[in-house]
Amino acid sequence: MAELLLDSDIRLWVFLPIVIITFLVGIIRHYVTILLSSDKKTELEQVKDSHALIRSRILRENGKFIPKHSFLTRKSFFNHEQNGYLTKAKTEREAPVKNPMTDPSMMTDMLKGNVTNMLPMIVIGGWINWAFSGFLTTKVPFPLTFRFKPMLQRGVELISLDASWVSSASWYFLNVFGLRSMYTLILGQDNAADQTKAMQEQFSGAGMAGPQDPQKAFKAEWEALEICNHQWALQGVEEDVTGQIIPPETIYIKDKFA
Amino acid sequence: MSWEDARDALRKIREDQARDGSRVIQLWKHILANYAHKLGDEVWTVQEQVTVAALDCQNFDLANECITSLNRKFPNSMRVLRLFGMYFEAIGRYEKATEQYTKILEEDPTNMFARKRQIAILKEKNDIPEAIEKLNKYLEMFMTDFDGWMELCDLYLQLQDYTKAAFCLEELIMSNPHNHLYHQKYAEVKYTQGGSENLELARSYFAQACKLNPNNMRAQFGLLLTASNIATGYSKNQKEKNSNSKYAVWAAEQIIDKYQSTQTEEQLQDTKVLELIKKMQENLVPSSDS
Repeated sequence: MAELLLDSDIRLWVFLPIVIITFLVGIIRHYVTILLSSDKKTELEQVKDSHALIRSRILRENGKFIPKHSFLTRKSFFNHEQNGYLTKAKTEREAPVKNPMTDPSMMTDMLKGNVTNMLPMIVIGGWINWAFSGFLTTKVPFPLTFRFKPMLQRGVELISLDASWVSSASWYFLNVFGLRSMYTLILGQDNAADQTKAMQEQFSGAGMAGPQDPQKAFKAEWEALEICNHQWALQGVEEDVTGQIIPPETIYIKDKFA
Repeated sequence: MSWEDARDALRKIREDQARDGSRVIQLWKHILANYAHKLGDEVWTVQEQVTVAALDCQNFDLANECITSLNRKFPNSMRVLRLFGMYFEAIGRYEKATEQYTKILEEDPTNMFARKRQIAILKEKNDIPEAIEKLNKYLEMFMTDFDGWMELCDLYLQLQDYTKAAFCLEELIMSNPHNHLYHQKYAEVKYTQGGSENLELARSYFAQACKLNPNNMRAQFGLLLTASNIATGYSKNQKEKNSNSKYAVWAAEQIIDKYQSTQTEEQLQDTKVLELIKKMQENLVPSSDS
């Protein structure tokens, strides 16, 4: 097949503008997000709950380092049949199933997310498609199989064309996803210019899920603590440290299921 | 020292959370104050650091200067408010300071810093029972603030409420079971409480501290004292007595070893500790033989 030759005007008026446009849009997005962002208020109750959950987890993991009596005291604080912290929390705390329609702050948050993420994506993408459609912009320097054609040659449906040619629309998408490290270089680590993260969130639905159900977390923690037994880690430590023969009654577990 | 070095030194102090007020002030006054424009946005963090350092050193002029410039830059900031509070605290106007902290808490009830400062004011006024009560309320909400537990433990120890202090220490042990100092302190509290059960616990925890850090002399002395006490006073049977005196002898050997390896001959002659320990050892050894 004869080698294709691209007009150098394509480089000047299609290839480079697409790079510059995507890059600048990313930068603008970063600052718009900063402008629009509202810092989330944390509720005292939420903080308390998360601290309690962490403490309960620490008790499960490191409870073996404190005497049995102390362990049971704490376990009873969390899991007492009537008054335990977790017992109460898992039954009484009603799940705050916030309806996004009734909570205006959540509505605005969602709107802001959409305005900064989806809108430029659609508008700029559409505009690029409209303004620069139908160009071949560049060629990847290695041969590719036929299956890459729809990915690299969006907007140019030519069956006989070699798959390593890249069309303008595809070049735009390559830029959208490929400029991440440039943004990190210029704007720092946690920049908002990167669209890929926002898109991942949107596709997996994590961005919409909101605060997770605390009741479930309490129930899981309650169950985990309930089946947790105390096995004192300091049993026979004196023998161990003095380097003597450990008497068997301290090695063998006397009552495993106590 | 160039201004870059000074900046890096301050950064290091910030990261390590070291409390070296005079050094911070030196670095700021002699080097960085003239290069403040070169620091960029970092200058505000540095000024906050310098303010706290100045308050530590009772250098109120410098603190005032920094707070004023920070306040001009961030008029409604909580962090500036808290610096104001600390300033009033440092000059002893506690009502004014409390007012600042209350203002912060009205804005943001989850602000741990303001809550802790309020407790600190009570401690400064030497109102320990009130401080304990407040700190308990605080810990009910922020259960995993282990610095808080440590403070509560010290407050209880001031009031000699050993059972509650021990509870706080258990919490600390769980937070980091590899810290030998927590184990050692817990053992000390238990040893102070006395009674055969507590002594046995103390012995175990001293031993654990020795295991975690073989160079912990205090824990080794503790092990020696607890074990020999149990051996001579609290043993229920001969076997227990024997094993306890074994531990005591081991600890004594360790201590003697440490002294002999680190001290010179003349120093050793001055120290009476070794003779004491040897005497204790002699008391213990026959009982283990019999």
